[in-house]
Amino acid sequence: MELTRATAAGQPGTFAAPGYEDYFVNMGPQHPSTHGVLRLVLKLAGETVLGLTPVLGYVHRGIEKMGEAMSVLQFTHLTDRLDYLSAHINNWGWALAVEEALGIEVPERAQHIRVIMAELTRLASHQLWWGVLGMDLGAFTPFLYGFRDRERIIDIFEKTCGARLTMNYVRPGGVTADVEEDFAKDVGAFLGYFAPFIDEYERLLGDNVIFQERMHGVGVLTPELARSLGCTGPVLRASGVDYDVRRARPYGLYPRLAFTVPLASAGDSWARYQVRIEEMRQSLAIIRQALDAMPAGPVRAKLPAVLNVPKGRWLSRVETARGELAFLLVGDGSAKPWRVKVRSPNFSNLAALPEIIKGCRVADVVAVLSTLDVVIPCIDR
Amino acid sequence: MSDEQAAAPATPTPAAAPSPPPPPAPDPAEVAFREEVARALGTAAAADTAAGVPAWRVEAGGLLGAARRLRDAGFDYLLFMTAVDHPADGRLELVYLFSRFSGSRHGALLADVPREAAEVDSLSGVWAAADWHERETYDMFGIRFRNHPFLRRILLDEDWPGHPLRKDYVDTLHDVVKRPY
Repeated sequence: MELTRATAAGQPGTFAAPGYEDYFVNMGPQHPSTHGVLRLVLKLAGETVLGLTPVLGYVHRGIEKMGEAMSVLQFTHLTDRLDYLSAHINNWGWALAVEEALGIEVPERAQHIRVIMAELTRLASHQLWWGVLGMDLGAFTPFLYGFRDRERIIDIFEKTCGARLTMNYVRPGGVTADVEEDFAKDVGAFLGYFAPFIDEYERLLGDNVIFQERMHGVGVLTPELARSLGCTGPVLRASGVDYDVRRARPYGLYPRLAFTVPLASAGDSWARYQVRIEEMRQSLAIIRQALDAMPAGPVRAKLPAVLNVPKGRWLSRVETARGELAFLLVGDGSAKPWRVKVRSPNFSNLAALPEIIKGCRVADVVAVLSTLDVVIPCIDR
Repeated sequence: MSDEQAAAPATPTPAAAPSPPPPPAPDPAEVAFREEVARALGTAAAADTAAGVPAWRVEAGGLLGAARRLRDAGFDYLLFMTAVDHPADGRLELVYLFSRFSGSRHGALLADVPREAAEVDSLSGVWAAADWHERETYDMFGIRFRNHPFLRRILLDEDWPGHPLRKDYVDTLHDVVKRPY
């Protein structure tokens, strides 16, 4: 077997494996490391992946079609069910589309609550990703540590909106209800609690030599390919492209907040790991600023009884934990959207997997998929 | 009506309600963006008047050339492509949302294809992102993309009857549109 990872990285698509017969293996749809019902058809020569074909649609629910049958307020709860780890941010994205279409102004306090919730969501999502990444590579402890810390955030969510996963909290015009009295205290306590644990995360997993060996140089995504495929989020930024919707097209409170967009240049799994770890630190800083400046006041704008979507096309773009989520809202003047299109960040990020996995080993498929951090219900919609 | 009342500032009556404020002056960056796209697209594209996303409409046959001109003008980011069904006009409207990674503005490239015999050139050679999105549009709307590398359904089964996001699609098995409440 002549094929090595070094030669494979240089010559994508040209593999010869004399003495081996190609064969196909189904990974998934019921496979723990595909993080949901995703089926990957692997074309293998021994342990080496010659090609990969994702098979999607196992959790397709027709959310875009459902959107045409309900009012814009009713649709909010379905956006929770896209990328369920970014539920607040999905709600926010949909709210932005509706607010732009109807010209709704959001109260200042609601803007602060939104940004705090969104960054807590990003943190919770990255905590889960970090834990699951460890488990995918055979280390069980990170999973427990990640969930231990994530639980603190989920508790804040539960106290605020009653839900732990499908929030339905950020809605057109503001948020559903004001936060609890001790919200600032809880969030502040969490910020103090979690900051040192990011260093622990790095020591526990990032300093592990086996982990580093599994990450370095594996699944290299070039910036050219990432741009052409429309990859976004940490996956894109790990390839050295400085693009974050919070910076490129700031919404809500982001123009007024100071934060840096973490970048890496290698484009491999290790780069994606580092970008997400650093993003957690930035999220803490953003929450602190928004929390300190949170004013009193109303949390919901006065809305008309029926929200008729005027004729036209509206697009909202937000940065979820995984990349750019966009909603295209096409209105015809009635209370129901004529068309709702969800631009899923995971859909475009997963499209990179068949290219970057060529020449890797079977075990690397798990690692690369985990650092792409895809959520399947968002892909299938 | 006494003279004093007439001299006082008139209270607005429903008929003479204050007129809505004049539309805000167009954002210079927005104007520059529109000019840039119009320049890149040339005479083949007509600006669309619908509210919201700035949009340009081209003939379906000229879509590939328009996309190449946009990409060469620096619009390296295709957010997505999709379609909107307009059964009353007998057309499907293709929507390509383009932007750039170094900027904030986005625009939509539009083209109409007839609902029957919906076929158009694939743009997967211009933006690789179009590959999967065109498969999804084929899946959901039944639009065929010429020269697509792998035009097969992406979310639904290969033998699924019909194309669900068309307005006249009826799913008798699990109808997500008709609800009991």
